[in-house]
Amino acid sequence: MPIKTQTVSGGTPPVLCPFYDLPFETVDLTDGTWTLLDPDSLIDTVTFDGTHNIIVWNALGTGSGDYIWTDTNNRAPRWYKLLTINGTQVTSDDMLALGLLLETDDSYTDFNQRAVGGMAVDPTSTVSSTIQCVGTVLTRAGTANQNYGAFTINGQSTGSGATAAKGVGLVQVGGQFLGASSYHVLDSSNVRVASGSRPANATVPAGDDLYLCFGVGTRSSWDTVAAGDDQRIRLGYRAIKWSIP
Amino acid sequence: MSRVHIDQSQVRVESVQAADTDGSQVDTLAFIVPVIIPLDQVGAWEAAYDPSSSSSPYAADSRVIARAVLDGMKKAAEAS
Repeated sequence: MPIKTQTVSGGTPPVLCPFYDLPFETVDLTDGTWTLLDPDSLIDTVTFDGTHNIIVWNALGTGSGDYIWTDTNNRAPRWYKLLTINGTQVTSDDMLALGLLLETDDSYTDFNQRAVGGMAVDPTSTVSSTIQCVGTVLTRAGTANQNYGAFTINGQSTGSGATAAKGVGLVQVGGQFLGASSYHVLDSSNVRVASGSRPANATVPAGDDLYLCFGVGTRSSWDTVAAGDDQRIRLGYRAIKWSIP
Repeated sequence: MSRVHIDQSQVRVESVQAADTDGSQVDTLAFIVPVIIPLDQVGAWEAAYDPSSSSSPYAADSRVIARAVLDGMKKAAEAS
């Protein structure tokens, strides 16, 4: 494998650059660092099998826009924690790139499901415009094709195809503004199936701490969930803060 | 007459879930056709439109936007 080097600005000598084949940091919702907000007690259990989180639901007898992430209000379960890079908290002032990997298990089709991974300004809120989540989204109706795409605040643009197997996203935020989320849908060989982008187009208060946010929900507002239905989701992320001259 | 433009290279097909202008949910596989309304045209467009009148805007004004959007969609559909 070739070793990639890059000269760091400011006259420092070339250093080994870690950005070639940079791995995603795998989200383990059971590692004790994540806080679950579940206003309507929809989550029964969550376990981690080394790559994916297996999320078992309680019954959702009546569907609602509150659980689809694209409506005005959002009472869907979500896990969150402060977004730090090398131990430093990042804020809405910082210029950031957030890479995301989202993947479901093709055999987990209990209900019409949704998952969202990304960053948020206030993940403790139940109002979408206050949560201000931007990231990558998965939606899937039963055994239909997997849809992956860009999620912004309370809207999403997604692509799909018969071979869709994972979504890779990139979010750019900073300067007290939520920028764009872009996505590639990949097949199991990492060949592009679909792609696109969506601007969040929203301002953020100065100095606000940013959070990582991983949420689940239903595909549509009329979808229900039976007790014991589950999802198997992999979420990976890698955040970069740029030094802006 | 007021004018609009289409960002033709950005016309695409995607699945969209989002809020419509009245807040209702949109959930559909659709052509996305970006409409460009020059800022110096906004005043004229606003003056030409009364949301409370079912006959507003006039057909001639409506046709400017309709033809631009439909041209954008048709060109993209033919190219796909």
